[in-house]
Amino acid sequence: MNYYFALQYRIAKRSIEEVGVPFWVGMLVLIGLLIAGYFICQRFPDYADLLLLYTGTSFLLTQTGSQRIDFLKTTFPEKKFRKVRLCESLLYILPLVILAGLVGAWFALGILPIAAYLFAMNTLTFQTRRSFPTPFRKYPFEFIILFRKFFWLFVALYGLGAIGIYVDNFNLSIFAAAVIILVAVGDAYSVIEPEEILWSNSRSPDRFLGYKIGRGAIQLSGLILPLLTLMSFFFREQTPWIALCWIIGCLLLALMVVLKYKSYPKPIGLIEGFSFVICIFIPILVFALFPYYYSKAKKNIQIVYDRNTTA
Amino acid sequence: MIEIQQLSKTFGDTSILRHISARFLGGRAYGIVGANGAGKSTLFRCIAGLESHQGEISSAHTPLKDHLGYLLAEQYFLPRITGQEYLTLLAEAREKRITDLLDRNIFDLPLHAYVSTYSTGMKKKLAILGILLQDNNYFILDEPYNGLDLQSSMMLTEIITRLKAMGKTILISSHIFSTLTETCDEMFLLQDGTFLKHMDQADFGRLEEELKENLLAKDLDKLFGN
Repeated sequence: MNYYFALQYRIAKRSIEEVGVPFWVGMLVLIGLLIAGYFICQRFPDYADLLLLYTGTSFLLTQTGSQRIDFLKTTFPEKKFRKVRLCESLLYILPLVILAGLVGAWFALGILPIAAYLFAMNTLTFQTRRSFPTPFRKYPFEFIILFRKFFWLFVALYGLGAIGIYVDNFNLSIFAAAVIILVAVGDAYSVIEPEEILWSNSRSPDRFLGYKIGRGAIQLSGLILPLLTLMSFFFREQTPWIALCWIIGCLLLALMVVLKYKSYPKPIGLIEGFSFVICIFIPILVFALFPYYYSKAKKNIQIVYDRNTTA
Repeated sequence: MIEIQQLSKTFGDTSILRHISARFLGGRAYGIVGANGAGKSTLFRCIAGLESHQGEISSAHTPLKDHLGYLLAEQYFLPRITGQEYLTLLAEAREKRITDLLDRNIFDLPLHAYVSTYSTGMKKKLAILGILLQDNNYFILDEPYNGLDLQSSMMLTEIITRLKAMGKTILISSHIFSTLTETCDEMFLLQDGTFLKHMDQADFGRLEEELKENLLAKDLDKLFGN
């Protein structure tokens, strides 16, 4: 078990170093993010619990892939396997539990360890022969995967948005909408398709990026506009803000697309991820960063085209 | 010995395995054949404890999973680990200390390289080596020959023969029929969720002929409209 965790440490170290920064810098950035999280929770205490629970659950979800669980289950004896899963789940949420304690988010403080326990103990992986229906089925693949992965979270967030409308709390509704947008934009482009898929399309890099951004914006709108339209009906005076929320969502999506293909076939690096986070807080920066990353992405796509052509 | 009694498995309304019973003895290799989607991998997953199921699965060594080396058709590897780290992790998980890893690297794998840089065949060899180093009593090999080169295939056949001589129980599925006839002592034909046929070595030739006639010929007739 000790070897497994030593290996996890090595894997984390390598993944940070792979994006071109020393390990200690990566750790500093992570500490910086925690401090930023502290100030965000202090600034918006009403949403601290939700934010911490969402972040914690997202961390835990990353560890629950069926192949990964099957691997651990077949590798470790039963008791050890449960210990490994419990320890890694608790380690993942530990910083958030500390943060919850510091900002007084008592609900999150109580729920996070329970969630970690439940995630660790629920070890059955499910195989189903039926595909989960998705409204995005015609246009693979980002939003299809996203929709299936986060269906219940989206249902919950739509519910939260509806509660906001019912109790006449605009902030709650717009928070729910913003989380949907951030989850969608943040996760949809985390899936990295094999190079053959990129290579097999006949579009030029410009047209490919335009297609990806356009299609993504339509799909994001399909996901979020029902809630935003409902909100603009009940919060008429807030309509400009609601429209702005949608526009920012589309801008962030465009940035995410070029960030992905700038790094492709590797995952988005630390610097690109940091740029994206900054743009969440200062969306106007997208206009400055987008052209730079667009040209980088275009060149990178061309490299992939050429590499596969000459191979 | 692994004994299965009345094993059934359903996914929703779809029944994949129906009341399967069989006994797999030590020192023997058993081939499981069947069309794609017949339920071979589901059967293996049930035996390995990866799927909930109805019916009983028992073994001489308990719990079964702690003595089982399960080679998945598509093996999972943790990201950013080297071959050596993977093998050490697998051995350490079963509290085995491997001091002569490099000597036991019979497939000449580049153990200091990241597994992600390995070819499909190299990954398969690494996974095979991993479960062998765990010194298991039972082996489930799901498509073990896929991706292997000729030399490694021959090596694997020899390994299976040695494992049988050591009294291990081996279940194998393979789409390459000749690899099964070479290595297995008995074969089960899995069809419609049950073991439709159970044959020993003397009948392997007949089984191949039946598979060709009943399964392939009918499908080809459909395709070419005869």
